[in-house]
Amino acid sequence: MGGAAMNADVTFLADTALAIVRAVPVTLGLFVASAIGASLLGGGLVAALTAGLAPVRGIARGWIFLFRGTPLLLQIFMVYYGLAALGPVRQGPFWPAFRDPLFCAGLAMTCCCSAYIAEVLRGALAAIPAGQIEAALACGMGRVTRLRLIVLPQMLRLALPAYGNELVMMVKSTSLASTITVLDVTGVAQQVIAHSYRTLDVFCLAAGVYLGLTGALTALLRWAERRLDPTVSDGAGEGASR
Amino acid sequence: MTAFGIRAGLACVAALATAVLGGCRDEEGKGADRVLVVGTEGLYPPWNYTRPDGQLAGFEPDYVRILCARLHRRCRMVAMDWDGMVGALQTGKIDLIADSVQVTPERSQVLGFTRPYAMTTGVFVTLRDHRLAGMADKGAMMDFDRPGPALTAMTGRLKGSLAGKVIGVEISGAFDNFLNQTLGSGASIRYYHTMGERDLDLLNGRIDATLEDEAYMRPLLATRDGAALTMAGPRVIGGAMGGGEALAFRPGDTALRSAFDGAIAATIADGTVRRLGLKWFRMDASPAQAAAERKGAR
Repeated sequence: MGGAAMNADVTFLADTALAIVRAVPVTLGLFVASAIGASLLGGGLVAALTAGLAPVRGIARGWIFLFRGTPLLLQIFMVYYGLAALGPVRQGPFWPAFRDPLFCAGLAMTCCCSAYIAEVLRGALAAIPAGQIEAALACGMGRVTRLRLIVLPQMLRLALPAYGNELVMMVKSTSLASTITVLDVTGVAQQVIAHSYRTLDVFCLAAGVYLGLTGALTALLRWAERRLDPTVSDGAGEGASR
Repeated sequence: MTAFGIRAGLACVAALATAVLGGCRDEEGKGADRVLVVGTEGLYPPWNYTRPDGQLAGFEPDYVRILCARLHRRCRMVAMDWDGMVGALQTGKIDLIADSVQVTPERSQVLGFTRPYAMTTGVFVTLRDHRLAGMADKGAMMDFDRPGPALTAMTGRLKGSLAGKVIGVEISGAFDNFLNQTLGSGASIRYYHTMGERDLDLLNGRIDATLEDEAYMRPLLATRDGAALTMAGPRVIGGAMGGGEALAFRPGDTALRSAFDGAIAATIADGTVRRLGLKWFRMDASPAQAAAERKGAR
């Protein structure tokens, strides 16, 4: 009797783990798509923030203020339920995209996280010593060369810890997509709970999957940080004496 | 703050705690005097819903009041999400569930059910101008407790109509199980945590159809927003959708359950359930009525 109950438990946990693991591509896809989108958009925002035209700077500042100042959950609801309530959106050419909950979640996450990433990149940009830019100018480097050789490589390195932090947050934020019918890791976990009335073990399995994802991401980021660290250069060791 | 102040403060807190706990014990009482806490969703009109002033209303609040009066028990209804209701029952936060819970074999393993006090059919609902509005077998009764060639043929037609469509249902509702078992991977099923969200997506066309309790849908279709919707295809009952709506107790609470069971039998016999159904659903939702219809359909 006890053995049978334990067997049923093991079967349940194995089935649940399998169902949750099958949902990893959804979570991962949502994360990768919105991370790429948010990074590109964030880069664009920083470019706009440093632009000469005041209206362009204003738009970028307004965007960051709006999306950093409101909860992501609210933004997801606004995109999913809010926009769908508007006739022009429903009859418009983009409805096939907005009809899809995964697209709506990705769009909201891209907009929200672009604001944070822009701030991270802006901080990195500000941390580049002014003397280096002056030196580059003195060497006669043009705008593009300066960006390619001096600004971007250093920005990347300076931004990486905070940027990595943002990416880890994004992995976890994907779980909010489950509120608009996306069957991601959290969505599947909730579905299993709703059918089995078991909460703790199912949520623990889902948490384990997120730990695996963030753990892998953290390891990747640490590797990238080490690669970009000039003090652990794999070259002839010119910077290693510090 | 001085040491005296702190001590006085602590004494106050202790006194307050005693008073509050004492008060609770007094109010809740012991044994047969204990106030029974009844869980319901409060979001499932007209079965149970929350009025703008915060009061619970609907078929079940009315019915629970009648049953408790009959049993001379004091009852208090609380609203909570269906997601957590079974857990709340198991941990003793509530004593029974009155939330139009369908009796299904899966649920019977974790809940102790009374006899059903209502039995309603499920109906498919879609937008008036949707292709599914002209689904086959309109209005015909599909009784999954009576297998046979007629049911098999209708099931085939139903599967054909819904193939490749997106059907929205409330998560862990009885219709969710039914669709999974009947349609399998033929249609894609989308799960909602509340009826309201599902209804919104039905109205804006994100889902092609929903399968929902007729008693819920009839009043909705009569509203201004609901005018864009229509019932389509067959009405479904039995099988994985369960054997009617019943009160749910902890499996060990047999004395309490059988007391309510007796009261339900009496209120069905004296016409109270029928009257309440006509009041809230504009139809007789009592098990006897459903049994008569199912017999007629054969």
